[in-house]
Amino acid sequence: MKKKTTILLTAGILFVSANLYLALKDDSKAVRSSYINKWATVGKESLTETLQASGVVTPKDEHYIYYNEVSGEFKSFLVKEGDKIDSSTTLFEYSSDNIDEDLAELEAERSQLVRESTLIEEQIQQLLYLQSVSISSSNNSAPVFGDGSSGSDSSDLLLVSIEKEIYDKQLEKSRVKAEIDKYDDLIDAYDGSDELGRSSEVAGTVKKINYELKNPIITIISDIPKVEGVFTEQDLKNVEEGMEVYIKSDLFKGTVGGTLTKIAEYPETDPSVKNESRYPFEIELEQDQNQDPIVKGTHVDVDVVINQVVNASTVPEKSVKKGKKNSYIYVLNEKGVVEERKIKKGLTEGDKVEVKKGAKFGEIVMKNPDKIQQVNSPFFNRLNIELLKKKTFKEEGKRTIFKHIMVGFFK
Amino acid sequence: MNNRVEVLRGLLNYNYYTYKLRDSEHVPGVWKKTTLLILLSGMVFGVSAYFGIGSEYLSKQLTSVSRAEYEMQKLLFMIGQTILGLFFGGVMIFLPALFFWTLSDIELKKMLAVQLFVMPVLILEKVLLIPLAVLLGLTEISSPFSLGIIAQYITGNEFMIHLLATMSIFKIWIVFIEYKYLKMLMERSPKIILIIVISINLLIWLFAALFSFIQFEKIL
Repeated sequence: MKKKTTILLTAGILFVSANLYLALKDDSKAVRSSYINKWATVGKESLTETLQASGVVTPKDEHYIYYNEVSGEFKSFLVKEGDKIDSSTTLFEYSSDNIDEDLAELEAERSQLVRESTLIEEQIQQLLYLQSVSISSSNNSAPVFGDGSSGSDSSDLLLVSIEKEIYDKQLEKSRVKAEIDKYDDLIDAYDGSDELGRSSEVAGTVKKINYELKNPIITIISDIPKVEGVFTEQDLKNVEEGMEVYIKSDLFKGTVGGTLTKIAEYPETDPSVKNESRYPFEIELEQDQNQDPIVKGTHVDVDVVINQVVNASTVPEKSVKKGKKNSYIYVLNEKGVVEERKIKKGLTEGDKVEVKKGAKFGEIVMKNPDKIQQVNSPFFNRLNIELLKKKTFKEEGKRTIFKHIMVGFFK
Repeated sequence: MNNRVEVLRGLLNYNYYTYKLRDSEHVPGVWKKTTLLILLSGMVFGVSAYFGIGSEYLSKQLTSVSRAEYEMQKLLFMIGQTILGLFFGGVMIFLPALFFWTLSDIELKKMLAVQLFVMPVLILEKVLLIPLAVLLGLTEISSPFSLGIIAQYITGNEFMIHLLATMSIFKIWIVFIEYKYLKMLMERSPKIILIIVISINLLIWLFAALFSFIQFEKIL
């Protein structure tokens, strides 16, 4: 009896083993269903391919204030380092003492000239009087000399010399007048220049003050931040100016958009064969009122959008199986069969892959291709109680529900 | 003397139990055990259906109906399968028992007791098919215990495949058990006993094959 049992048991095991071999070998003719509980729907999303870089937040602009010694003597600064300023804030003032002194000197010179000019005017008046007197005397009582001619000759000579004198004095007067005008202009110029202080032209923060009055004496940084960073040589071929950029940091929520405004054409250090060259870049950030202030000097992650596809058909990366040459996805199709599809992959973002060819939006794909027992075979799955809804039962109607149970019974 | 039907003992130790069953006048506990086995059968069918085994016909709905409706259909399938399990338990116990009973003058209870040893074998087969389906994708038609796989290699005839798929080593075991007990109880020639046993089983297999062959989801 024991021997018989052993024989039967061995036969049974052999039979089962042979069956298993026939069923599980690669091109088996036996139908094998796949037990599939996880699937995903082909989505429609916009995917972006980004290039990661790191950057640091810096002020967008630096303004330098220069001090011109000719303008007057320096008096004092009106701002401190770190002060917030707007475009009308006075930064420093000149001393006005020197100007007053200069002005007084000019006024003195001018009055001197004015006095001179009055003197010349008086002299001219005197000469004019002299001239008129000499003309009348020569006509009425001319002195008679021996030959009777020399007397009239000498009075003519006097008149000419007086005339010349008047001419000279008038010339001098106009010269002095011109001089006075010049001083007037100078004095006016001093009065007009009210520039005793120098105001800022930009809003921002005072970054540095040079107390030794070496130019630039004040450095002002603007409130608007920008991001600076460096690209490696490999990065360089993928990026170009004008590309969209996203900034991320632990210090603020979400991302801040921006634009790549500048990529240096020369590396930051002298090129060397040993070291990889690094090319500085600049990003102009989008201004957003609701955004938390971005602290300057903080380091941020930079994502440069180098490629973007709108409304791409996407599948989870896990669902794609890589073959030797092609990639495949497994569609759970309307025939209730696992269908193998050759696909053309596009962009990858996170765990999503763009399917350029081979999948349509809304199709159902297997999440884990390793669970497939056999391609082009049926599949089944476990009941998911959590997804049941009372509403569906009500909508279905008793007849249909009974029908479904009957079908289940006859299976 | 304890004459209770000891299902597992009777199943594994024929010689001891055949005599015991023949010589005893009463077989207490038959109804209780029958009920229990029928319920167990319903439960195992329900568990199997919970995993979706046999519900491939519903899979094509995945793309066309809402998820909630899809799950509802699976639940209804599970309910249907549980009822089938109860029905299957009842039929597999009573049908052969009644058949054997009509062909002999032995108490129905004793015939039922024989079927109580058969039932655990059927339930065991169903239980073993659950991990095979879930892990290896080997559903009923490709059960490694049956001739289904070989049938798929040699023929394209769907009915033949289904019929051969119902014939498994467990079914042979059942034939063996029924033959052993009936031979002892009925005291007829072994040949006739064998014909009786095989004919009733063949009838059941044919019906089972017909059941799984016909796509009721298309008819109803």
